[in-house]
Amino acid sequence: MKKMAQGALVAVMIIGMMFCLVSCGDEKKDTAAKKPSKLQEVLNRGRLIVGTGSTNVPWHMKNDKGEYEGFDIEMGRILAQALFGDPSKVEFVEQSGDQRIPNLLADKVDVCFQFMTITPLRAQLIAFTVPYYTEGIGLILATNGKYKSYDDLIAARDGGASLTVAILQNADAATNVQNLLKGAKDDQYENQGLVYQAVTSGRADAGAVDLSSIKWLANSQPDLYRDSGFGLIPQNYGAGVKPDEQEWLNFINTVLVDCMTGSTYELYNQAYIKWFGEDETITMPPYGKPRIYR
Amino acid sequence: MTPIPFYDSLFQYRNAYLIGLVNTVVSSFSAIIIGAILGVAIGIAVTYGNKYVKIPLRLLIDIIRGIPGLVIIFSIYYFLDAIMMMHGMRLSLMAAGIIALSITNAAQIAELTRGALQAIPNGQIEAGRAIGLRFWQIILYILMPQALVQMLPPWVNSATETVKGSTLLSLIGVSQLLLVTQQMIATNNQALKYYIFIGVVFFVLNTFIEMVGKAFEKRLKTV
Repeated sequence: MKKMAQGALVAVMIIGMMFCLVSCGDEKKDTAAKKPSKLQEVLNRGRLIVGTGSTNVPWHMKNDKGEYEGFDIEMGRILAQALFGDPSKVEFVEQSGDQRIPNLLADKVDVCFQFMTITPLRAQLIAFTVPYYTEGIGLILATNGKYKSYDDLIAARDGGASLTVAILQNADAATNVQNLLKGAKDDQYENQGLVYQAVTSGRADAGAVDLSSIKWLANSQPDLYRDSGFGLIPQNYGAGVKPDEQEWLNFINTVLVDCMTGSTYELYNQAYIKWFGEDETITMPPYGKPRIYR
Repeated sequence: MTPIPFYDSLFQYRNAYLIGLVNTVVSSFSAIIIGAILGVAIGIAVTYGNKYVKIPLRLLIDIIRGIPGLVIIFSIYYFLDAIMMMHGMRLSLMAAGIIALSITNAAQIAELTRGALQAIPNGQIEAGRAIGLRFWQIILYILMPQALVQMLPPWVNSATETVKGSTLLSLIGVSQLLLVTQQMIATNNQALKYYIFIGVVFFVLNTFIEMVGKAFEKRLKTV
């Protein structure tokens, strides 16, 4: 009986502690509502905090000096330029892909530029800006591999060969592989580097990766990689922000739209040419009716 | 940023690797030290404390030992930071990592300490009391020297586990060896070579720990 009473006492103590923590949280939430807007907070801080990664070329990576580089990084700098007139007033916070949404919700970062695909499901958790790039998924092949093009893969599959496609772990990974090459087996890897390793080592017949990466790799390492010449599944990359930060979201949208269609178009164009090469769609915005409405 | 040969890349990115190595060593060794201090203290409390100390600590140890390391890391990073933010403080990535690893390590060592202390016959405590020693003197001069001999081999084992477990910190973005390796693979695409390389680095680190452990063991046995 005595033991039971002690056990009950301990349980009551633990539950009490939990209530304390929770009620603490509620109390602070009320004061949080009166806090200045995120935009004001960032301006007061004098420095933008961007959540991004460091393991995906050409989006976000680190150079030999330990500095961040890549297209996502340039977008962060464009936003810092718009906020403070200085592209260097930005701090990049390393985060894994799984941390993109939690870090926004936990206020660890102001905005997330980490090749984040806009999906309705994610948009229920966080707010997306307008897209700043439209990605597609293609199949990358090893240059000295068995298959030389997408047609080779199709012919082999129809001939009864069992094909394996390597892909980055993702909610839609299995579906995407089926859309690209029906009947192929999907091997899901934890990071993009392992996907490429699977392709060059012959463990997989092809890798399902972003078209931007295929373009970058086939150009920079033609002895290792080949573009299968097939891609589909367009997806928009947008920046993510914490929900209920309307003013902040509007500000980023204004900056992004302007750098793609307006007076700051050169910032976006320079970044684009640097990481994806010359492209006929990257030109000075035409005069007259804005390009986005044509 | 075009890929460069493996050995050149190791040289060119030596600073990144150095920072990675420092972060790995700092995070895992501070966790080993903090975990040891906390663990021994909790282990003694669990073995000789009264029921009001024993039951909550027992519960705590069992809960922590039952939760995967990764879950503890994420909980500390998000939950503890949220609590600290209410008081106007922030938890750095590294601090979150060290706290998480220390907690995991402390729970393991508390169990080791309890096991080793319980293996010593109660008669020794009574003998200590009979010659007029205080409780902490009995612990310090009679029980712990014997317990340490028992504890050391599994302790070294848990230290090497902590070093290996520190790779999980890459998932919250601590720039340690595994994350640096993943960055290298992203730019240079030779995953296997880079993984073998850090495999060797971890092997060297853990061999060092084991050697230190062996040296201590020898000393303890001769005392």
